[in-house]
Amino acid sequence: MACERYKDWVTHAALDALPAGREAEWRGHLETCPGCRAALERERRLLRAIDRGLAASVDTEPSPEFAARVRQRIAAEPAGWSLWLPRWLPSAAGAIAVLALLGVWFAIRAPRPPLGVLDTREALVIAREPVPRPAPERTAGPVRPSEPQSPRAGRGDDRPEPEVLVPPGQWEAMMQLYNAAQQGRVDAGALFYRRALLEQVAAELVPPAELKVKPLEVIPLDAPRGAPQRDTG
Amino acid sequence: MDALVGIYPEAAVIVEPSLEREFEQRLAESSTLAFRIALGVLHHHEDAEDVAQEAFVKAYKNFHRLRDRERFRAWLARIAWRLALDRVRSVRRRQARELAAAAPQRSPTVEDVAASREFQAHLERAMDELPKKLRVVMVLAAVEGYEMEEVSRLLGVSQGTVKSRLFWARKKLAEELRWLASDTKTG
Repeated sequence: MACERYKDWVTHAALDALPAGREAEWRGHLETCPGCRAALERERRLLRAIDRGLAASVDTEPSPEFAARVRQRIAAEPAGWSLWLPRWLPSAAGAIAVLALLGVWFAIRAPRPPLGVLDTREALVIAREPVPRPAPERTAGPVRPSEPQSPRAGRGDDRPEPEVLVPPGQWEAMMQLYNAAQQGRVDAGALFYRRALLEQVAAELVPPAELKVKPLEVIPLDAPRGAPQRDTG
Repeated sequence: MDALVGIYPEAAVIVEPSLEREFEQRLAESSTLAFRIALGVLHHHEDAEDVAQEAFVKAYKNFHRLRDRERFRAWLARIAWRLALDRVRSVRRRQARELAAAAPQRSPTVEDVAASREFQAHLERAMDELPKKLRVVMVLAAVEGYEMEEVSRLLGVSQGTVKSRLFWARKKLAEELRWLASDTKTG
């Protein structure tokens, strides 16, 4: 049995967690106290038994069918794209589509800004001309949002496809705009011509000349009139 | 990729096949971890498998949200741990019945006790009584072979914190189980 004074030290010592200031005293006491030495040994055996018991309790593998059962449970989950996407995304996608259409509608209705050096009447005439559209080669109706296809598909266009990354929530809005333009419900040509005109205006603008500032000429107060002296200080 | 689609035919629209492949790798790498954590809490093979499977299903649903996929093991460990704790009540009732039938007959030496199922049952009960912070570190230490670095990585705490919690957990377990090995020969 451990001594009354040191019995609370036994567990700390068995766990090698005795405070540094007590180690010397403890070692000195162990040399003269067989009871504390025995208590320390018992505590160490108990702690080893605890560690072994815990390790043994988890020292086993899952069954060979574990992975297959995980896949079965995943497959049994309710079907739907929300498994890989946030649950709020469908609602957000719908809201973004509505906002995008509203933005397009207001953009078409908004008055044209002044065009600078170009003749305003000419610009308006150009803007109002409908964009010649190629005959649609598909006969199955508008393209569905879930079937992404390039507008150039089937027209023999050899140019590389543009890399336009459309976030999932905006894809439906873009396709609705595209379908509306295809069906003539939206004058998309006006949008493109406005941009083309703006780019033309920007290209024709003369860049400002480089600003040069002459050094300041300070005329001393006592200088004779008509003979200014330049201050080069 | 078709094989992977065939595994989950109706579950979801696969946005990124690479995510699917990565999840399969995680499933192969971390099955044992999730299972052993659940087993450390539940002490029942079938319950632990069920909980570990459920943890992987939850991990699958949220796999795309992982910012750091290298921390998947830590993430999965937390999910398995919480699910196992949620399941523990029914397991405790079963353990109580088993313990009532396993009353100690004598006061053997520590070695005899350690080798017995009686010690194991009492050890499991004592583990169940530990505060959760101490319990999880003991379970993970047992699962990971008492590698402090791995345990600290799984828990997201420093190694010093792990050592401190291990100390207090072991101390408390020793206090609870000391009566099992009351050896009065060397009194």
